Amino acid sequence: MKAVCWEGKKKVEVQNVADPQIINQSDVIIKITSTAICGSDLHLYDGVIPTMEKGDILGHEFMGEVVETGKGISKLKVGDKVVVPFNISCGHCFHCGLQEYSLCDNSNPKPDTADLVYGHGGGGLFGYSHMYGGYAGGQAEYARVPYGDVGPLVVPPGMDDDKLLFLSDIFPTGYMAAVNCNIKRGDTVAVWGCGPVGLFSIQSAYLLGAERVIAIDNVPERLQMAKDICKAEVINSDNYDVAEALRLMTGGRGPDSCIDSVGLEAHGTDMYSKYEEAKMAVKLATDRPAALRQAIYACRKGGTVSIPGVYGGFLDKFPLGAAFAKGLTLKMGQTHVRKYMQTLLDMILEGKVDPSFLITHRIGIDQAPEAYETFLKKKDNCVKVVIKNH
Amino acid sequence: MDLKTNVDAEIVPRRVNSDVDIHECVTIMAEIHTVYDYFSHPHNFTELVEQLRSVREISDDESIWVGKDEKRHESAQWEVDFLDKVPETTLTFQVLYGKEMVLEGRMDFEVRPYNRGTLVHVKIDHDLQASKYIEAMKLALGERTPKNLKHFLNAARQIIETGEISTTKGQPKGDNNGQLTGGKDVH
Repeated sequence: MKAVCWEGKKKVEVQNVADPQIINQSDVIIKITSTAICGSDLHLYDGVIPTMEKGDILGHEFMGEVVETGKGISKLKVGDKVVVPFNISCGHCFHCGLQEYSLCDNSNPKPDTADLVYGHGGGGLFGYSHMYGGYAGGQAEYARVPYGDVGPLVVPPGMDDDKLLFLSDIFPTGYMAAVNCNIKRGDTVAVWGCGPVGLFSIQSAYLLGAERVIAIDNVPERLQMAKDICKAEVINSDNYDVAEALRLMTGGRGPDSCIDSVGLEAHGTDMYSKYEEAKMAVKLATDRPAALRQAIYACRKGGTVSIPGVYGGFLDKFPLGAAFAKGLTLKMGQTHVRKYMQTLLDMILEGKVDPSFLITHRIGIDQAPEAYETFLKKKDNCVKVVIKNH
Repeated sequence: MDLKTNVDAEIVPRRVNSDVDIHECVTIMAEIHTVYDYFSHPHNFTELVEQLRSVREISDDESIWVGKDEKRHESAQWEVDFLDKVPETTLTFQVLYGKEMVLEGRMDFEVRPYNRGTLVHVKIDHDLQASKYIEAMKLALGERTPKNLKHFLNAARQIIETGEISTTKGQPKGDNNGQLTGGKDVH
């Protein structure tokens, strides 16, 4: 089959690799019909996520048809159309029992690095480094999905993939980011980053009852989407002091909650950000938390900062003193995708949300290397790339 | 702080880097009788430890383990005896290599409250000649013994909770030279 393989920093290739096969009894094989490039794949492309190996198959947002099931599978059958969560969950451990699916105890066969660096390893992820298990990803024609009875969500046949694909990651990620804000009637939510997760965070904040959502970015086309489609008020961070603008827009109080959907490769304009960019360039820093820093400064006293954006290492110039002094609640982590999939599918089926608005590029798998570059550089108004197979 | 005067001293692992001081635990989401039963039947361990070739239970309390001695590239055999079995509470054991006892240890089992599973606590004594002890542990669990004991317990947890051990062995991977690695080309 064809698969998109990581070959080093800023180098991905489409290669012919062997088809996946059933290895454990709970495995299923999916014939992938649609798969996407995620903003977090760009961290891999940029080489800032450790423990990648040449030849690793990328991709963690995918859906398709079940073509083979292991002996232990009872809920799925060949022919089912499914969306696959990006995190792999056993469904039986302590954390899965709490619906903390991304923290699964059993799905990561290589937890040692994360144990060492983080204290405890998280669950396995598709196509996202060996620290998260080294599983082959879904930017391919077929994928092996472990614990097939637990993760994949069966979706109605005949529905357009474009409406369903983002249940695999970014829609639940934006939704959990908003859930973590504990939004109350009348709340104002500020969202950093108008990429896919940011846009879904905006929509989710409204779905959960936010009165106002203010979106921050410096890409005009993305701000336009946030404004026109997601109905957010917008701030172009190139033109305004974001914290001051937010203070004035919220009557001096600050947003009730702030969502950082940018993550570790933020491009700030302040002195700290330039210093961090220099340090990161020579591998003396692991993350550039410019958006997170702004969110903490801007958030109202007693508010919540929710972090769906990915962070990987040890942050420099992290204003913990401000967070402490203002009594902020910080909530973060990989999304417990399976917890939210059914709720969000129901919203799609009821017509409350159509996630397909996000897609700007539909390509064949052979065009993936070029699409990575386009997405990274935000060329051609690129917001979301979907790879179509079969 | 003198751990001996601490009431929790028995459950606080000593902070050492030595191969000969091993103290590990795991909490498994299963009933205590299931967990105890699993660990009291050593033949189960062949699915957990890569270099372990076979375990033959010669009685309720004695078993012969055959593994690969990586250093000598040959098979090695040792005997594991349960010295005491208190159902759903404790297993104490010793390992005989040849006719000489080279290590002893115990596993304690405890129900965690409010449906938080069963705690398995492993402690291996080291009042023995260190070199023989290390040798035996390497035979049983591999070169990096403390870490491998953790792997062993985590693998047991996986088996008991899910019925299988997570793996990526055999999955496809690109190698950029046209060779197909892992899996099979059927579609």
